Amino acid sequence: MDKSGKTGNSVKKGISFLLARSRCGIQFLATLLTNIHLPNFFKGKIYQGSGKTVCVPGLNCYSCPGAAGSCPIGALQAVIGSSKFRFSYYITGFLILLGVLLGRFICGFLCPFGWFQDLLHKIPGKKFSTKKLRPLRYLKYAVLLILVLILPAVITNSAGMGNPFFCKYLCPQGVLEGAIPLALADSGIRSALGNLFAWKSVVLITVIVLSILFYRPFCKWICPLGAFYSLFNRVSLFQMQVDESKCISCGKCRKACKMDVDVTQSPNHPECIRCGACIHACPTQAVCYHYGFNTNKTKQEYEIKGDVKK
Amino acid sequence: MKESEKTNMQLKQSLIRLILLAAGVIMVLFGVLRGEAGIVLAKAIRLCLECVGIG
Amino acid sequence: MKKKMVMLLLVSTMLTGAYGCSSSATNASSSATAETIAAETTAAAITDSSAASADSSDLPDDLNELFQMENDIFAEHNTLWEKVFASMDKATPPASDDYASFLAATIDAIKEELSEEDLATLNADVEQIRKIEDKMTEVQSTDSDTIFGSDISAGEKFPAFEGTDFDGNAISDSIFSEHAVTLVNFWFNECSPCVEELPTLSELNKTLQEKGGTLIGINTEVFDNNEDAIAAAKELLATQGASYTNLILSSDSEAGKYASGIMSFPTTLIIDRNGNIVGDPIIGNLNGGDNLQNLMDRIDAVIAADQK
Repeated sequence: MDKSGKTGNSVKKGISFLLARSRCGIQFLATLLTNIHLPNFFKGKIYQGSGKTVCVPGLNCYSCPGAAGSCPIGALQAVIGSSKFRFSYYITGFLILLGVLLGRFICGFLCPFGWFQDLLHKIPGKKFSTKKLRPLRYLKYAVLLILVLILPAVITNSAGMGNPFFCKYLCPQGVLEGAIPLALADSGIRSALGNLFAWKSVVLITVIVLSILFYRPFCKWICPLGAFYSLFNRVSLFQMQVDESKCISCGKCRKACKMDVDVTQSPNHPECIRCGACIHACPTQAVCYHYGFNTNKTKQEYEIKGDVKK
Repeated sequence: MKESEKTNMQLKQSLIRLILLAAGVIMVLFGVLRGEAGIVLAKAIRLCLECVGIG
Repeated sequence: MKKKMVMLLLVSTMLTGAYGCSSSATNASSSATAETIAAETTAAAITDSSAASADSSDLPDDLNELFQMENDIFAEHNTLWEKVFASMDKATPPASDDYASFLAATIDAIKEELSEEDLATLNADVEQIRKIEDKMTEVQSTDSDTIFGSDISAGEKFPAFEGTDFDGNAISDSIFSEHAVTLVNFWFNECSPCVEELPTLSELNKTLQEKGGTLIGINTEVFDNNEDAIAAAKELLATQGASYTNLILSSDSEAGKYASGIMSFPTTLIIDRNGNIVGDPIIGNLNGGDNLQNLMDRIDAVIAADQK
């Protein structure tokens, strides 16, 4: 390696450390910016400007008083469920762009509901590993396919309109940041709360309890947005990178990873939310973030082929 | 051989990325042109209570 | 700091859940009361009227409950009150807005036909009704649940408006004075529960027309003759078989701004002949549950009040 390469690498590692360290702060900022219309929480209104034509990157319900944009999953179901269309090019294209540009970095840094689960997990108590529950992670693809993409297109009423099945029956984020603040501020909405709200509250409370015991259960097992982004981790411009020459195969990164990923084996595993725990855990600073088209490390290329070489 | 393999793989990956980016842009434009953005906005600024699980 | 935030979140979740459950319990008990009145069981009415003889500070704040307390009083002395109502000339409206005084005047007109005892009973009832009427005026003017996104409150007047229907015919707020009760239903094209209740609303309109009422719809996407939205709305109405009047308003008119401010859908308002909004807005789909029955009870109450 030439000298400029070495300097470049240590700069990259420095940035990686900084980024991983400031993750919580970035999550807070992202949540705030996503829900910037704070006065609406007291008025019991939602933002009605044209900013809502655009989607935010994380899972954030449009019914949240502060929401500055639409939820990608909600918008997807809105278009699919409308009488005119059966599929949304606009939202799917937008999600593909986000997938390639950022992948599951969004889950780790920009999603308000991800931050919520992170905070809940900090509540002290016995924590359980999800390693043995790995098969559950395929559930979220079923949620994406069935509840978000297929049912709103297929189960339509007499006017040809479908319901947003995920938003209506499953999404806990809508209860947390939409139904609850609105019901607190507006007596009309309060009086409209019924069985559907009761069911969704049960879902929310279950997710809350699970998030205290496990790490990010919703992201792992249920979130359709995470499911979509996970398909792009391998081709995303935002990558994890392991410096082979520095890696001593101690396994500390694997132990530190709460998404059950071994970064030395598969740096861009679909389950990796780029949280940077492996970066912190590595004693030789072999793991870092990498952004861009070109990679100068060997692990990347072998990964596509399916080989794993040291 | 290893080096050219690496370069091939890199090119392949870059190609996939570029194609996906282009596809994303084209899909967004197509979707906006056919009126999907209007639907997204119309739904997002009015609170359909059942749709968000209230009621 | 983070832990405090999380605890606050959890507590708010639990509190709202408890609140939500308890408000649905209250609704169940008030609809049960409505059925009791409809069955006209005097036993229940007598118990209720003893509650009604409390003074205005003890009266409930809910307009629907106050309406029902008045009905209880009429039901208790049913035969006597029927005599009074029979003597009223429907073609002549009350001399003043004061309903209690109007009743007193009518009783006075037929006092020759009543025994002293009956007269005393009726006058006592009128005084109860006067207290209830005062309470109702008080409630209507101070109803502070105005954070409804558009400041709708019971007792306020629906804004004056001039617009057209989907066929270009001119419609204005004179429609209120032409009917005993008018229902205004707010909806929009992308809202599937709104579209699903359109057939129910169409049936309701037919029922209302027979009783001297009507129903109009306001689609909050069709302001200012938005062609695409109007076309979509027309198609939805046709598919659902809804033929009642739907308005096109201008977005900068008072009524247009009012309708733009409606945030929750579907919303239905009950408007009386004078253009006043009666009771709280009905939010949510009318299909299923006792929403429709509650609505019919409230409509009947307004029609009954209109005929007096």
